[in-house]
Amino acid sequence: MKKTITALCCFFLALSSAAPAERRQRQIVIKLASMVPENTPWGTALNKMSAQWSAATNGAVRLQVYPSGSQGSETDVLRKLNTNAIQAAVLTSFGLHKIAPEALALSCPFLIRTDDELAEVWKSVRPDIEAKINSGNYHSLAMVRGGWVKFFSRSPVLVPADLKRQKVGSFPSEPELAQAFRTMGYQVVIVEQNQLLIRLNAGAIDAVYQSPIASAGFQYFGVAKNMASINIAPFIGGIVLNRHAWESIPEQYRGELQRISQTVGDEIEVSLLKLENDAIQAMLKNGLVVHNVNPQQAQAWYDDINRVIPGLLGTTFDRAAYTKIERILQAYRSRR
Amino acid sequence: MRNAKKVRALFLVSACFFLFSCSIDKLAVKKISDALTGDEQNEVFLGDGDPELVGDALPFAIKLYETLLSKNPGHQGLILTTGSLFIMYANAFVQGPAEILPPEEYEEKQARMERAGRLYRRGAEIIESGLEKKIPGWKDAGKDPAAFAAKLAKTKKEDVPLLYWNAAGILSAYALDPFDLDLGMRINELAAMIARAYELDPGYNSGALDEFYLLFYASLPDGMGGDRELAELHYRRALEKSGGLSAGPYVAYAKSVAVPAQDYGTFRACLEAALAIDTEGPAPGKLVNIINQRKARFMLDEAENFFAEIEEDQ
Repeated sequence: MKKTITALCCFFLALSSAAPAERRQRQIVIKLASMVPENTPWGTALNKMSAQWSAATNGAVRLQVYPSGSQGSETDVLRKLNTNAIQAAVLTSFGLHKIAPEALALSCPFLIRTDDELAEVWKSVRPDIEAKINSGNYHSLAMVRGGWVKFFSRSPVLVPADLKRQKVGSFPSEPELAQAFRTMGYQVVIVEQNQLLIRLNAGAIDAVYQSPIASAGFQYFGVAKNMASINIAPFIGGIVLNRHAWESIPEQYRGELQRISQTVGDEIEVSLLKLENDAIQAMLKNGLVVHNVNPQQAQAWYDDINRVIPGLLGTTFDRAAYTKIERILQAYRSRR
Repeated sequence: MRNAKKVRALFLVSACFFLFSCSIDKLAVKKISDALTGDEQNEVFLGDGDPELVGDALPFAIKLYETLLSKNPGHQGLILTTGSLFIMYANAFVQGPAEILPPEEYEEKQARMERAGRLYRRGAEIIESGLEKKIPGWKDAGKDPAAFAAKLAKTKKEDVPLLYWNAAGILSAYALDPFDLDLGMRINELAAMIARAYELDPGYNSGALDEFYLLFYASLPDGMGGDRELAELHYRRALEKSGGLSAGPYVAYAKSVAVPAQDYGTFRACLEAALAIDTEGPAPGKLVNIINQRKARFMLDEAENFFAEIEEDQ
């Protein structure tokens, strides 16, 4: 009898000590790469998403975030997604368009011009992009609007001629946008992101097109202290998962994880809009000069891109996506 | 008339007593301030082997120093001790424990990080008041590189601790909030302060300036002062100057260089070297070593949270 009790005790002890290990073994770990540091609204939101995923799946699915670009550039991250070294990533429109070429049309310079226009386009184009992502080897968890890309330059830029006199820095990860600007007659200089401020300081470049958040965070505006008020293009981002990882998540959880991800994405969107405004205010306090582009000057930019756009469709920008956005905008503008 | 004399005498006695008690009060505050701000007092905290005891005691100690400082605002020893304790407490007992919270506690983590940021700023402001008292016009000179260089030229070797703690407090607060432009705009100022401190006393606190530089060069983007080669150089110097007896440079290198490079082999080697340091006997940096070893143990145990890919043979 004593032996039986001892054996039973041992059995239960073994069972209880094995349970967490077994649970950990069964746990699905999704490794997510993010370029942004942890101590930012994006970073906090991703941590929140991670916590909510664990809670929603009772610990069965764990989202592990690798912040601050530790997994490399967007090109590296896409390669790692394909080899399943990581399973998820936060991508900008330049990374997204490698998965869904339609995404880059949203970033075509001066196509979408205001928040209202973007909201109108977003309603019907976002589902297209998500469907495209989901039809291949990936799954879209969230798509996010992150403010506007603007010109920051050494000398004021109000019309295209002002910019054509200056050397414009462009990242190697954005060859399509660099090509678009080259075609428009600008002096584009390709420069790695971590070299941008050094090259600005050295006078090797004079202007950049950047989100105000990046310009403030990396202090590009310290040299390129003139910001043109005109919106170049919306800044778009998304959170994607590779298909293998998505399908490894038990079906019962997928709907809830999708909902959590998009809710967090929506919160990121709100915080980024606030951050963009805060960044502009902080830069103004520290020497930034905003140059208001009037409607005639704005038209000069629109005419400049319209002149070259036929040559960029089907090569740089997806023709069908561009045409769809253009039609939505024509209809929207005619109603106003 | 007689009454008037009495009143005048009473007034004089009261005034004398008041002045006397004031001067006693001042004298006492000065004596206590002097007694509490020597190197021996630092050793009471930094030589302790029980981080929990020190962590529990520090808030009271900080408030005590702050109270003394309010009575004796010009006391440089009190300024340095109070300000540096704020920064040390924020780092070791607020930010450090917050960093190891699990993802589920992200709200708590964020709250603690924000608190650490506030404590860093508070400490840095106190230290800055000491520099302002020593070198009038210090605070306003920061925005003008030439004016700031002129102020820095007036600093002496004895000012190195103030320069170090001021820069450490501001940079730590900035690291917790990289979108705080007011702090971000001070990066060049911090670089100048540490360069001056290095010029005056390169061996300060057994390589503390090199450890600062390691984090500075490794953490900032290239254009803002980041430089991988200089990070390596100062890592080696920090190890030399500490005689390999400080876990700090190993942990700092693992976190700020090996993790961004996703170099697990180096990460593990550094953290194992940190853990191999003896903390049993009495040593000047015992407390800091024990805290850094806890960080090292956590980072090794949770390596998969820092590295997406770890080879089996590593």
